[in-house]
Amino acid sequence: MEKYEKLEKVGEGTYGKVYKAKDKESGEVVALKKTRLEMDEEGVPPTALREVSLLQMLSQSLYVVRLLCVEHSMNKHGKPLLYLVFEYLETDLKKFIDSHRKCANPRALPPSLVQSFLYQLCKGVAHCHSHGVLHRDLKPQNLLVDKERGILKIADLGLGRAFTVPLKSYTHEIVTLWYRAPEVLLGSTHYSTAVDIWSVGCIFAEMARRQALFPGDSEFQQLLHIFRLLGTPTDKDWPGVTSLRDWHVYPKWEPQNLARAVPALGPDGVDLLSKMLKYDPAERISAKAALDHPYFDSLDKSQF
Amino acid sequence: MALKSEATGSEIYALLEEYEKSVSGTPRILLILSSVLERTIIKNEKLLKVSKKKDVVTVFHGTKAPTLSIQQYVERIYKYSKCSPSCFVVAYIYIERYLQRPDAYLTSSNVHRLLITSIMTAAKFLENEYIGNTYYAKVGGVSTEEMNRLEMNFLFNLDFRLVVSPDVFGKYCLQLEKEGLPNRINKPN
Repeated sequence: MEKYEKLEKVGEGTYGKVYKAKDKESGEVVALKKTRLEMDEEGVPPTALREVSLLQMLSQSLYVVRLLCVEHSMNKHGKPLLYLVFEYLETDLKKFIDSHRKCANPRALPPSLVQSFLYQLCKGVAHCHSHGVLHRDLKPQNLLVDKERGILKIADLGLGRAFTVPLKSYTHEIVTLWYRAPEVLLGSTHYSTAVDIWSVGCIFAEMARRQALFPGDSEFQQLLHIFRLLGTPTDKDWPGVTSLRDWHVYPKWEPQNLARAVPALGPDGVDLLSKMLKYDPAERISAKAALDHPYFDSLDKSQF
Repeated sequence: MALKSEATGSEIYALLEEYEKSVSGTPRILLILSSVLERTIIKNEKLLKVSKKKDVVTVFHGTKAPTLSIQQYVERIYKYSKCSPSCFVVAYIYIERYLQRPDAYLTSSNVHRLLITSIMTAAKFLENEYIGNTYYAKVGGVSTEEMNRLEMNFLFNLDFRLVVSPDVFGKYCLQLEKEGLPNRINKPN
């Protein structure tokens, strides 16, 4: 790894440390993701294996972080190491939102920026889905942001899955609680692209509010947060919900006015959000359809 | 079973269920896979002998061929890894991708290591629970260090192209079904 000069540690990924580094030859700044050292037992971590193979296929989209190459090297004890070399982006959406909230001069994110970020996010998600890939862990921390150019890219596909080959069932231990879709929380074993759209909806609301929409601290609390705002679902608005594995009897809440939870959004924004947060996964809007929603009518789409 | 070039999702599910059923104690997919591989090897070894070509020696080549037959070897892997029939189909696809390199031939000296490595990779990519390279090394009869080296070599040779689209998966299922078992098993009709 003499090719790169490590500049600083910038984070801890799903399976190892992430460094900001410089390509000594070209001067290009990159992000180096190092796989954990205890490769012996497990070999290449499954998350790294999936991330590389999925990005290999998806990286040509502007809205998915670019994997530049994979380097194989040895550490000082002669153990094999894998480095994933990514393009470097200075910040992520979580830090970006925080910088508008926790500072001397708290301010809303400009509405046109929220619109543009959401459009780019939907573009990236539509790209993943059209290649048969579920991200499964969309959250602000996993969306990289270039502040100067106003660009947002999807990263961290370690939990991603290609839904190509029939498998028995997916694990439901996915997605950070706050962005987890209700069908996953209720123990549905077969789920689809709609789980990513739910996360996109939560992220959309969070950009508008500058705080999480459903900040639950347990699976049960997470469901209650959702039910309190959107109403407790019934078999009428979500066929089959009461037969899901983890369904219990819950207090019966009426749906609240969604617009009040996101005062920064206009009627079109609220309409799009409500379509992303539909209870019935089959009714939830697709990423591709979202791109044509009237909320984006005022956006100059030709730039994307 | 009617054979077409395209299979629908439900047909694939039905095929996969068939694969799990056993014929005299062995799941069909294992019989199909080993018979396809055996025939490829016979063809390749003939070709290499006639043309006096040598295949390039790689980390997958053993100094002597193991005593276990291909069928016994995949049965052993199936028994201990408990991975799904899909993994065996995908492993076969990976082996084909690996063999696209010039002068790479499947022979009796590399088939065992290619099998354990490709099945392990498929399981790691597809299954929710992964049981670890050390375990696969034991099942496959190699050391953990060698298993890790084989894995790394396999991944880089495949350029990490592990995704298999539903179309391709379906096509291979049908192809295996068609080529699989002329003489040895009666096909359910």
